Amino acid sequence: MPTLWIEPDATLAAAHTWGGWGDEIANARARLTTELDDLALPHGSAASSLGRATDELWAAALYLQLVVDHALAADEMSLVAELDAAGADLLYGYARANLATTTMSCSAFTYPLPTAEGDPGGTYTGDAREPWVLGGDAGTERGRELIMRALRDTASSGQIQQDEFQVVRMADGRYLVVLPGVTDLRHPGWGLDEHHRTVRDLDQYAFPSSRSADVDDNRYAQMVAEALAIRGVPTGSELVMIGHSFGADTALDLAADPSFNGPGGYRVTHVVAAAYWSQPQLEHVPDGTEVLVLQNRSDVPVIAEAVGDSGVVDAVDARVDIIGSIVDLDPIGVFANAGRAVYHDAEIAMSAIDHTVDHADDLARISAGFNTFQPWLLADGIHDFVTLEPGVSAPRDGHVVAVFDGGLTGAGHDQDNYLDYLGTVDDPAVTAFLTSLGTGSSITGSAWSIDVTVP
Amino acid sequence: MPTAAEYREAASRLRTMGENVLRRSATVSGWTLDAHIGPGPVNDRARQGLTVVAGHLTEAADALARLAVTCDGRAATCDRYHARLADYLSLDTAQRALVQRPQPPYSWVQ
Repeated sequence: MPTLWIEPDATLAAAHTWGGWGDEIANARARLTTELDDLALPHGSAASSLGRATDELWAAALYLQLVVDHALAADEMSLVAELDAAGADLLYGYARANLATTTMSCSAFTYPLPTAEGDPGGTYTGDAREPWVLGGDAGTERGRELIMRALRDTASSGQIQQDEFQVVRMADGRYLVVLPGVTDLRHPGWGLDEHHRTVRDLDQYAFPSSRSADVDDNRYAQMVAEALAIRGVPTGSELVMIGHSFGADTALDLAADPSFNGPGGYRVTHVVAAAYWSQPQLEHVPDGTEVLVLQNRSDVPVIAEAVGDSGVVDAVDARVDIIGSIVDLDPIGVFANAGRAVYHDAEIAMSAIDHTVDHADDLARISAGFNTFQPWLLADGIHDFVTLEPGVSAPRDGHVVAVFDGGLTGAGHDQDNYLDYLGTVDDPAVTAFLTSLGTGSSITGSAWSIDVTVP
Repeated sequence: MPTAAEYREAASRLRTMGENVLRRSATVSGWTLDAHIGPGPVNDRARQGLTVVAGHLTEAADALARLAVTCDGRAATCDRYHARLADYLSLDTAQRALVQRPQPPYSWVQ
């Protein structure tokens, strides 16, 4: 395979020059249209040709930036950057499609999607995926877009397959680690999936991990750490970790591990943990790592985790019952099953568990809702039982927990519920986190998927 | 409405802009990445992009030149109208009664 030879700094300087020309021509076009209006002259083709030249220059400049990102990431992580004619066309087309993009919508251009849902081999190998191009000004809006892009990617099997997570090498030198959740939430089955043997497995790895904030019982976290080391992400690098569900659990487990986040390891500057009962992990995360926890109050798996953490029920059994009922994605049915789990197991534990005594009223509502088929009474009771109250809190400096009243899509667990919240949230504590994350952030990044098939 | 003088000034500005755009087109056409990116598809794709840019800029320069000619034409039309108007205004009252006062030939003539 031919090797791409590139001088990154000089190429970026060329990109900068081209972008500057684009700006110049855009200004000239603006002056021209004003002048033609004043002269009562038709705009003719001059303005439109200048507009097309501007767009093409900006696209070419962005293309060069993406090529450099791609090459640097491939070199650092010892990955193969396949940039043949088709690959170059795809990067160029992606650059062109993203020129006017101020949100993270990438629908205008289709990057080559993987053809399979994963495979049983290839542990720790990597593939290039659709690059990141962020809009918005550096600061709050770019931080917001960064998280939203990451959460979208966790929902896209085209960007991250069943047996993968994502590493994005941003042009600003930071690495983003994007960790999706389990693959079998809606179709739970015992054991690893025979097709891809992913570590993102509910019963084999996610439930055991939920018992603590340790990496020792989180195989996903162990494999992510190993993958970053094998792929050559330099120790000492700044990492941003964004996870959904089991990915959120894993992100915080890694951030709480001093051998990963500390001297000799990486510097985890920010963690975004969405759709997971993360509160018990926060105390283990060191100062210097900012954390944003996002929880939809109606997210049933979060509630299930919280029920487990309450000490009322055996976490694994209760959660298996609840998760197993999510298959048809009927929120009322899910709450009913959650209620059944809490009600049934709480009865057994009634006399022994302080939490249950303290929440006797909530249990009564759960009981009434369950027995009288009043799902909303049931839901309210469950919400209060696990104390998921909407609001933003800061349990300590640099840690923000945002519980919100979100949608019920996918039993409240789907990324869409979180994206809706993120797109509009203006709470000062949350936006301060977004600002911290987005300040100094580059516009582009090279995205790579890393395989975490269990050998 | 602009005067003949303003159309002439605009023609001059448009011509200058067109010349600048044409120079930029030449610069873009002549730009090579060969010192920064080795030969191959990545370099080729960038080259293709610049070729497209240069084409658009050349089209824009041509269009700007045509606009400048249009402005010159409008200035001349304004001049002719003002000359006819001046002739008319130089007539005495009896003579003016025999001819029609010249009307602006186009809405943009002042």
